[in-house]
Amino acid sequence: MIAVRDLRVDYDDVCAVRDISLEIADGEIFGLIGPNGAGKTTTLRALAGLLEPTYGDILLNGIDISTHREEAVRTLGFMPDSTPLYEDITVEEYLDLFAASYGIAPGERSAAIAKYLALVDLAEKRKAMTAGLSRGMKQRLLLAKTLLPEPRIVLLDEPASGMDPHGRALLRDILRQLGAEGRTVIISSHILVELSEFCTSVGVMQRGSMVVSGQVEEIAARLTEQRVWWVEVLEGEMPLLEMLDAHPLVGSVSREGDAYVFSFAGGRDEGSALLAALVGAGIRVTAFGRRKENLEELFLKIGAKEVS
Amino acid sequence: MMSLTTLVWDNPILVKFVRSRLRRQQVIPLLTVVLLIAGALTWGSYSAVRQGGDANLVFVWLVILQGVLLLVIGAGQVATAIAQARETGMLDFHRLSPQSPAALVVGFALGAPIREYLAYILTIPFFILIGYLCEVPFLALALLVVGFVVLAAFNYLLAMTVSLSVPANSLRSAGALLGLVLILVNILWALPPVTFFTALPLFFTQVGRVVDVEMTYTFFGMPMSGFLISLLHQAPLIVFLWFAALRKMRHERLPGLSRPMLLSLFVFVGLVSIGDVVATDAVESGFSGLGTEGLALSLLMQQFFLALFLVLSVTPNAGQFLHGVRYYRKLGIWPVPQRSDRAGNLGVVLVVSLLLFVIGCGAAYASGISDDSLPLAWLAAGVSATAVLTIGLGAQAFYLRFRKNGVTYFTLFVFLAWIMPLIIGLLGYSTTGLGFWALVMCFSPLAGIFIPITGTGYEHGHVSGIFSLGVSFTLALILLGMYVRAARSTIARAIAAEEEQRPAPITPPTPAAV
Repeated sequence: MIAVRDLRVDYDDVCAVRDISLEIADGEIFGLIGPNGAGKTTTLRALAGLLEPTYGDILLNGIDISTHREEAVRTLGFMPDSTPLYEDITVEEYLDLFAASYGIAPGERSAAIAKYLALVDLAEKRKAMTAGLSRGMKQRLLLAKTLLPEPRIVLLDEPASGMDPHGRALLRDILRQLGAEGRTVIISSHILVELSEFCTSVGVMQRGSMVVSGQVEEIAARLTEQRVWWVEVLEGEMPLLEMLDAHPLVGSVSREGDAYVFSFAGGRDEGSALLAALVGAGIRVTAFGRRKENLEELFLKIGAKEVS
Repeated sequence: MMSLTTLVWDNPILVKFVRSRLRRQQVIPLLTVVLLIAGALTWGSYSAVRQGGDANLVFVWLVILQGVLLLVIGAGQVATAIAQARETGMLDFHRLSPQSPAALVVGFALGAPIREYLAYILTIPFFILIGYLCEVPFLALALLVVGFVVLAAFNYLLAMTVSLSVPANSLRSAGALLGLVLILVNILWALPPVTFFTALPLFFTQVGRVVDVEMTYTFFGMPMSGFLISLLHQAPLIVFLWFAALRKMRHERLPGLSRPMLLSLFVFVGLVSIGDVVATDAVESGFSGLGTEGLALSLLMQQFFLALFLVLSVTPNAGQFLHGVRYYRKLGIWPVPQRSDRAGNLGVVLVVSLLLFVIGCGAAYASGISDDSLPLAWLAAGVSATAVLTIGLGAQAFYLRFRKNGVTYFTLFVFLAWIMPLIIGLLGYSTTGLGFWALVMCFSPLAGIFIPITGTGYEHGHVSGIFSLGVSFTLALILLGMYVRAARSTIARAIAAEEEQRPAPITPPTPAAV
């Protein structure tokens, strides 16, 4: 679990992170999104204890990082957006260095290294020099290094950058597994569509502030009172349009491919009633439902609001 | 508390360096070259002895080879390893691991120069053999090895602290800076009367004489071996450097020394320097040629420049000052405690200036200058103390007032206030003699310290000293005013910034009436 209260980080005159407070429960995968310079990396580095905050409390699994740093970081895995590697050692030696640093017993290191190299699909590169790895492989090696000490809290800063589709698929699976194991994950990324697939909650940062955070659905609900619904019909398009036009909760209607998309001010009950009314009117409905907002749309909405 | 065994034998960073730096293809060429050179030197010394000559020069060359390997290349390896680890972000990974800062310091200090250690060890049999041929006593050989180890520890920790302190955007110039620092510390600090802070000159003097174990000096009036005095000086310095390296390993953005540590270091250096000159005859004590006034002056200058360096090293820039203001305001502690690294430097500047005055007076007394010269030496100590006030307060005022341009404007100020008067005065002196031009020079405290204490054939040394003291004191008062004003304005700005409009959080819209 991560608890942050009133976190502020300044770089000289510039306030990089301004009074952020949030709580992220065990098993949650929290997506940190925001434009460049919003303060995501600074927030992650402060959470990892690599930056001294101007003020604010950071508790990692209940341990205050400012007073019990060495104890707090034992439970932490951090993967930065760059790829820090010693390029004069092999993949195995690199992981062994950190296995030893985290106190994994000598007899268990080899098995742990093999396990995590297999997890990130680098088992064949065990004896390769790290300098010879591609950017995507280096990212995967870093991911293995991050997970090697089996941290309860994982902070990932743009982990997918430089990864090929195979690497991204691996990352997705690993993150889902981490969430299922009850570990707390914070991930920052610009690839919002991917984040939306596995994040249980998100926080949107702008100019150092957390402008909104919570479950994706919650945020979507908070951002707009009119959710987007859609309907596909086999026939009866004219009666459908007439009914939608006449319905008091339906706003604008547009066509996207075979579907009619409309804004709807009602909830699930009203939606169900509308469907029943359409079917009752003899319209042959083949699909009907509320369209799930993806993070990109949310992000753009929040951005648009801030600008306005 | 981590045991020494864990620190050394179970140190992952050390293991990493053993793996990466002792690969066969890298080690064999170096060891081959070292073996060939050491073998050739041994053969040369053997031939010289067999032909009835002496092989002392060959012994000196072997010691120089050892020094280059262990002290120069080794220190460079430590600095490079730290700079690379910082630049790539690896050091952050190490900081994040549960390894203690002590384990990191030991890992880098023992690991980065591991190849050089091996090469040095390889030379030891040749060292003993040539020493035997030159009839160097075994004790002297052992002392040389101990001296090398102590010097290596000193240089490696110095290299590490410098490399950890270089701003992140200047890491590529860390090597050049390190070279400069090593030269300053090892060579300049080797000048009398501070010969013992680095064992290097003593070391080579010894080697030049092909090791004279009997070479004795005095420390607080007690006769002692030069090596022992060097150890008494260097061991505490190594401790200070150790704490500085630990602190920098733990916190990237803090100065290496906390303020209490800084004051302790300043007092330590002053005290042992006094110990070197107290109750001794300058001519017979290894400081020959300096004279008592010269001894007092050089000791004062050493403390003066050390004070300037230390005060500047803990002067926070505007951003760090603001950080302190915000942090302690949030905690409800006001004003910012002077022991904090983020506090303005007023307290530390005042204390260092006072200590400098006391140590300067003590040094003059201890070096045994005549009663007539003693008041002039105290005057010089006063000038140096006010000069430190000027520089300390000036730096803080300029950093706060001019922010990012603070360093540039402050450098310009130092040039105008300290260097220009010297240049103008020296130009005038070269044409019309000292007289009036001595006063012009004494606008600069550098001359204000030098002229009264040495006399330099000028009978009005006290006038120059008092004039320089007046100028420095006035300047210090002006800069104090500027400091207070800049600090108040910075604090007011920090408070105002806290009240500034924050980006409004997204609020849920009220359900529209449909």
